[in-house]
Amino acid sequence: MAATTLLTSDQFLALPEEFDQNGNVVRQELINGEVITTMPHAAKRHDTIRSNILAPLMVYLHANRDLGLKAFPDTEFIVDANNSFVPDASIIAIDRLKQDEHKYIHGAPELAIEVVSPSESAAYLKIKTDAYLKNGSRSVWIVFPEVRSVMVYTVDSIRELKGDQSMEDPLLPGFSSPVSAFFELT
Amino acid sequence: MAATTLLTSDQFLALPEEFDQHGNRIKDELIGGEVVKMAQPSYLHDRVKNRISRVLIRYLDANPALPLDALVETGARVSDSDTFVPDVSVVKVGEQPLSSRIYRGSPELAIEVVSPMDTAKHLKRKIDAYLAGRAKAVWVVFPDACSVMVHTRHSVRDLKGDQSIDDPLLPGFSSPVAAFFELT
Repeated sequence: MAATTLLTSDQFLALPEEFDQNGNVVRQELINGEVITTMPHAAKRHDTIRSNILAPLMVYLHANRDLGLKAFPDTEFIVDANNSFVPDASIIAIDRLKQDEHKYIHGAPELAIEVVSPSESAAYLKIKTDAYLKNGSRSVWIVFPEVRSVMVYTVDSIRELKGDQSMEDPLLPGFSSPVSAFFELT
Repeated sequence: MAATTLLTSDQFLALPEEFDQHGNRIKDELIGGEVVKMAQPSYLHDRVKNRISRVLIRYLDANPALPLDALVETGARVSDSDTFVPDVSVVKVGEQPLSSRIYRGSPELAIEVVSPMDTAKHLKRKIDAYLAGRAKAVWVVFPDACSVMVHTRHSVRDLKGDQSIDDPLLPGFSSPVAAFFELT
């Protein structure tokens, strides 16, 4: 990509935090060694969709505690030596949380969920999806608000779900939610 | 989507052409009614685009009975609210007047080479619009990841490395995906 200096995840995480003119932390990710400032999302729609996805996942995981999984918004993952991402939502094995008291988690989440922002680069999204799967994610959900569909990537398959189709995942036996419910904005 | 006025393809195609300060024509596309400036080309992008078009043209030259042609950056009026410029497209010949300013409808096969500035949102809309028209497949080529995602109406596959890319539209055509990215 651009002819910029590439960083490792360790170098990236050692950078001082940056703040914008309003004193808010500027959120950044490291994608293939490149520092990318994540655009402020179209907040209301983006966050509503994220909540719509997280709510049924949290209810399901609470009722199925024996699975040992937990769902989080905005957790930072050092996915590998050149990639450090903050998925919009993620599901993590509780075991990994106990071992890791740092502010970020090493490796990829069991399930990564990215809600596509209007300005999000297709090329970076592909690199992120590949990096998640290469580093242990069982699946990656890429959520497209504009067309109200979810692309579900696993290591060996890609499916697109929309409308009345049910969102299911091998990681979450018995979980089912109509995809359309993710996009209800009221 | 931004609160901009949405255009139809006919309105879009009737707009006067715009030029930048160097006198070069500004190229844009209509994506879901939204006028979107095309990303600046990059060297890698154009090399990959040319490589793929050469591979397809070689195949079509060797199969002159097929009523198909491979085009580079030819505009296509894909729907009433979508007019795109696919990087490479394979179209059926003999069905449209040669005097048409633009190809009407979706090509049989559309190939988009992803630039760093292409947004995921617009790319998704383009894939959906091509497939809602007469395209049987859309190849989305990622130069950085060295992979090609092949979208059809019912499936998506991610091909890379030694995996072969083929297409029902192109009988006997087969190329390892890696061949698209072996550039010096």
